[in-house]
This record gives sequence, structure tokens and C-alpha cells, in this order.
Amino acid sequence: MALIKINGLSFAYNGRDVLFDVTLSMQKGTVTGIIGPNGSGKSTLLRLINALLAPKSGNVMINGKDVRSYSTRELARLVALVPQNSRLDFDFTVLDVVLMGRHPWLSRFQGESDKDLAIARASMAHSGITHLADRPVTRLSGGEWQRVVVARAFAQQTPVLLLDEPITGLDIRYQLEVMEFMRASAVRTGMTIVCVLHDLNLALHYCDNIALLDGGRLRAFGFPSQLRGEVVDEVYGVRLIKIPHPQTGEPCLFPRYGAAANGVEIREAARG
Amino acid sequence: MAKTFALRRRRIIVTVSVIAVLSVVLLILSCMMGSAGISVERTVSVFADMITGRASSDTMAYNIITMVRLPRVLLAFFVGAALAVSGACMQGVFKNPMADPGILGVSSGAGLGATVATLVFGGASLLGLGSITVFAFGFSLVTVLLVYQLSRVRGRMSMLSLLLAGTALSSFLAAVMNGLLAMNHDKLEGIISWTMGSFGNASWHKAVWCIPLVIIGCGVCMFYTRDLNAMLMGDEEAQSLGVHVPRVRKTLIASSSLAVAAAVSACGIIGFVGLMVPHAMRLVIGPDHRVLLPFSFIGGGLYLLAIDLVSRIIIAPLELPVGILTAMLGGPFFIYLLRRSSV
Repeated sequence: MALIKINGLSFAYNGRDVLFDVTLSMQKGTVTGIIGPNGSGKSTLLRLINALLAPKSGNVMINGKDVRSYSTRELARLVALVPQNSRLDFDFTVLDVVLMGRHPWLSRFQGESDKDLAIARASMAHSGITHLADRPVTRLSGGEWQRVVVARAFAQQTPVLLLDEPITGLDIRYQLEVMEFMRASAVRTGMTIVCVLHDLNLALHYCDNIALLDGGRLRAFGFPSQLRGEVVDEVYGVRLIKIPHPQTGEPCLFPRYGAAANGVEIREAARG
Repeated sequence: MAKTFALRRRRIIVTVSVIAVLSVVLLILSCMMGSAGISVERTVSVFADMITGRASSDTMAYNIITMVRLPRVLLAFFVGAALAVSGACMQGVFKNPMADPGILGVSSGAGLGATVATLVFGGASLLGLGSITVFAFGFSLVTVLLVYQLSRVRGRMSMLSLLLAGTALSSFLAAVMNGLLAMNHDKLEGIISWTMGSFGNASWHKAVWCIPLVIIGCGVCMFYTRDLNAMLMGDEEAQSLGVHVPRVRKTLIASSSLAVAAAVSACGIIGFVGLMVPHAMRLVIGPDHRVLLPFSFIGGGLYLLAIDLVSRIIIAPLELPVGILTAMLGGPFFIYLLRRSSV
């Protein structure tokens, strides 16, 4: 049985439709990549799964129950979120922030136990920020902060993890580390991961399933190998080159350079 | 690694010791100083009599301390505590280090409420409470909700619109209040001194209704300290960490308004305590609300106790309203914070 089931989900923001009748499901222990151009409704879909938004119609079921019927605390023990633009202006230490991931597991006046601390430290090790533990978060680079938020979500120890562009702004090493760790968590602990990605090749390699959104509609959903190059070209409005990866033999997508080669109309250039 | 924890704990212990010593010194000094000076020995012996419950031989000192100075000391402490805790709370709720009940219009709302209550009911009791409390509380709650709604632009809270909405509404309410006063010359004097904040009229009667409300208001805030930490990262992140943001936010706004309304209606408008104390505390013990709120409570109390003491002796035999002193110290501190955060 699928852990997450999305049934005919639609959403409108200020009367403007953002998502139309999206239906798909995620099996336990899989990594699902959500791809699509800017403004195609990827983040909205993620927020609907986390019950941060109310759908116009349709629903999202986790463990056979509508996410909107869980209490905030119950849902936080089930789903963790790594949002896209997060920030904190107060100078908590990195360890403090990672420990906030334990919030849904603690009762009101309970302090963090040694077990919570151990979980936080393990999460920090996985996202490579152990050396930053005592650093105030106000003195981190964008990439370092991103890894702190990922570690906080890991510390939440939920069966479902949602990530909104978790590797945007990271250098290639940490991009690979975060993706590898996601993969390993899915395999080892059976975590179900849904991840918005912009890097098509990383998505194709690390995800079990790919959902391609286009203007709020689900254009394609399935194994990476089933994703047809022409559909991707059409959705993004470019003409990509598909070649096998020299190491794995998996299909890889590369851009053609030059505006004309992609059939992209560049208004700035036309204006002179 | 464990350094931060150990370091933080040591700092907290040092701070607690300093505060304990300061409390005793301030308590004794506050009971000694005033138009009738009482020596240290006499003050200490009166306290000893009070604690042991035996009849005091020093009747005059005993009466001055128990009837006049002790309610004043308690009131000053709890008013300071209320202002500081609600300041820390508002800064967390609004994710804005410059937030303070005064800047959000809570104080001027309470001020207008208290003026209306004085003019319409003469401060008579209402619903079993003083009408000043009821009106100050109601007006301050409405004011902060209004500021909150006004500063939301397309569902998002902006720091600038928050400050602007608060300032605009504060001056509007102050204008209404002044308008009411201009039309009621006979009651002008009482209310003018009320707007400058003073503990000169402190009494057991005031202390008895103000202090429980302050304790309830601040107590409720203390329930949500970890939620406040999470809310600093934004509503959606806090919610995904299991915080029911709308409910927690409303509760915190209501309870800190309760504490401030009680404080303000007891002794008038005292500005900048809610801004200065939490920031000074953050510099010492860090931003974690689980520590910050209790420390702001005690720190705010002691700060206002000290300010009240200074206000009694600085131009003796006259008293300077405490609101003037806190604004004189708070204004420059506020500017310092603004300069610091803008770089």
C-alpha cells in the first residue's frame, strides 16, 4: 500500500489556480523527485502534503488518513519539512537549531535528553556540520544554513521527509552528500522522501520516481528511465541532449548552448 | 562540543547569583529610601519582625515599610517583570527584535482605555474588577490585534510595516486620549501623571489586583517558550515542527497583553522596559526563550525597582516619574539597537 496518496488535488491562491487535479502516490522507502519549471506548483504540492495549505479540492492521505485530520503535533512526528527560504535572525547555535527538530517528541516542559542530543549529533554528522555545532546561526553561509535545516529535519526522525530544493546553493560536494544521505535513509530506514529538485541529472540518478509538473498539472510520473526527453523539452521550452552517463550508462540530459539552438526567444537580445 | 552547554550553564549560574544579591540589596534600599529615611539596621529588624511575625518595637518604621514601601516595591517589581516578559514574548511572536508592547501600541491602547474608564466610570469597579483594568486590557488587546492585521501584507509580516502600523496607531490613540483630556480639564492632572508612569500612588489595593494578573499573563507565556523558539524561524517551519502557530500566537498576544494591561493600569505608561531588558538579557544568556523569559521576568522586575529607587532620590524631596527615566535610558538604547541591526 502506498504511504502517501495524493487524490485529485487542486489548489488556488487568491483565486488563481496553482495546482490542477494532481493524482499520484509514493511507496514507503522511495525517493520521489518533483521537477518542473519555476512556478509550476512544486513547492505548493509539498506544502499541501505537509498540510500547511488547505486544498481547493482533493486530498493528501498519509497512512490512509487525510493529512488535514492529524493534529499539528501528530503530523510533525510523521512529516518533516526542509523549506526553501528559511532564516533565523536570532543567534541560536547550530546545535540549538538542530535540537528544535526534537520539538514534536518533547512534552511541554521536558528538556532535551541525552538521547535527543545523540540524535541531533548524528543528524549533524550526516549533513557534515558537526564542526559548526557551537557556531551562532547568524554567522553561517547560505549553504551551511541549508545543511543545518536538513539536519534539523533528520533529527525530527519522521517516516516522511519533504525537501524543497535542499541542494540549491550547495557546492557539488554537499549536493552529492545530501542526495546520497537521502538515498541511504530511504533504503536503510525505509524513509519516504519527496524532494523538489532543479538539477535534472541528480533527480534522474537519485530518485526512484519522477513527477514532472507543468503549470500546475502533472505531465509525467514514473521511473526516471520512463521519462521521455521530448516531454521534458516541451515543458521547459528547451531542446536537451540525452546521452548515457559514462559511469552508469543512465540517460543524462545536457543543454544545447546558444539561444537559437533551444528555440528560446530572448527578448532582451531582440531589444538590442 | 559540550563547551557551549557548560559555558552557558556557568553564565546562568553567575547571572543567578548576581541577581540574588542584587534583589536583597535593592529590596532593603527600596524600603530604606524615601521622604522619611530609615537606617539599614531598622529596616533589617523590621523584616526580621515581619518574617518571625512578632510585634515590632519600631512602630513607625514598621508602618512605613509595610503600609507604604512594600506594596510599592512589589508593584514596581511585578510591573517591570510584566513589561520585560511581554517584550521578550512580542519580539518572538513578531520575529522582530524591535518589538515591544509600547511600539506595538499596547501601552497607548491601555492608556486610552484607562482614560475612558476614568472619564466614564470614574474608575469604579466593573465585572468585579476595576473598570480601569477592564478597559485597559480590552483596548490593549484590540490595539495589538489591529496592528497585527495592518502589518500583514499579502499574508506576510514585514518588519517595516509592523513598526509603522504600531507607531501610526499609537499616535492616533494618543491623540484620541489627549482629545478626551482636553475636553475634561478637571480630570487632567490625575491622568497626566498617570501617562508618565509612577509608583507614587502604590497601595496594597493596587498590588493585590495587579500582581495576580501579571503572574497569570507571564505564567501563560512561560508555557510556550519552546514554541516561541521554533516560531522565530517562520510560521510554516514552526508548524512543520509541530507548533500550532495560530493558536500559540493568539494565546501569547492575549496573555502578554493581559500582563501589560494590568501593569499599565496600575501605574501608567512606562516605556522601553520591554525593549531594553530582554535585549540586555539576550546579550548575557542567549536567545533561548526557555531561559530568556524567566530571566526577563526577574531582570525586568529588578530594573524597574532600581529605576523607581533612583526616581525617588534623584530630585528628592520631589519624585521623578519613572516613565521619564526609563524613556531617557531606553531611547538611546533603542537607537543603539537600530544602528547595530542595520549594519
